Amino acid sequence: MDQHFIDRLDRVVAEVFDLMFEKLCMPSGSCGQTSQGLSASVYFSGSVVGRCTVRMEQVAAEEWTADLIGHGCEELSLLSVDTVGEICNIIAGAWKSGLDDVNSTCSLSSPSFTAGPILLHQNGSTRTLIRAYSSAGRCFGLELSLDEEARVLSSDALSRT
Amino acid sequence: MRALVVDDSAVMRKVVERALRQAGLEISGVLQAANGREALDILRAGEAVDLILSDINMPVMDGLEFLEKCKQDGLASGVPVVMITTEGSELLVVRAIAAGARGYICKPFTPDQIKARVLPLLPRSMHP
Repeated sequence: MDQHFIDRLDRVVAEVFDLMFEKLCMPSGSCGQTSQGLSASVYFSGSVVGRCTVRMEQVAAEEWTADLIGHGCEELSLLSVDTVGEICNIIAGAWKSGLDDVNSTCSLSSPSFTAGPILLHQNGSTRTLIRAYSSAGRCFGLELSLDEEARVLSSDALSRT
Repeated sequence: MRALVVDDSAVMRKVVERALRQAGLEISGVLQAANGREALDILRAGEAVDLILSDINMPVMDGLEFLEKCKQDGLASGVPVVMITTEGSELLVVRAIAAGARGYICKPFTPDQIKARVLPLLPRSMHP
């Protein structure tokens, strides 16, 4: 993935966190995975085929949930899965909206969820960008995987976006 | 004012409710549905609402099909519907408006954005 592609993803994530939580969100070194982690994935289909995955620890997910709906809510633990899904959904949507006219018509799935460590299956034609971000002292990981063979346009067209 | 919020995410339903209250609207009740089918069931049960806010991309029945079914069945006639979604494509906007939506707002949104989109659609008596 070229630097322009990475920079655009970082901008999208920063804008989403600014609007959703009014907090700064910056790329960070790494996010360690724990067995208490939550992951949510949204799939692209059509002109762009791939997946966007967000993963974070349960504690961070509960804190983001409290920021969204207020603290003191008894359902924080149950709703935290939803929050990870929505963060993933909104980042994927915002990234997709910035693609060129043809590729932005791809569809998004509803989020799917997994708890615990994730084993990713990657075939040879998949291009994957893995980033770690930090906001308000909480970190999360993001993976953007795109299927090279399924794209309508050349890689140049996608990296120009 | 009574609102119906339709979204498969329980967190987003609460976020929308919170945004409506932070916008200063006098909310007497917020009904919630996880998809278009549940929303239709609520309306068919005779629940009266003054505003509907619906996601587009939902399992079971999406927001566009929900709108079309409301129109076919004469449900919530005259009630303004605002679509709230991550999908910002022009095609979806056109389809939503054609199906009867009166407005469209993209996630993420602020309470001020919800207020700006919703207030013009409500009678003055419901304004803060």
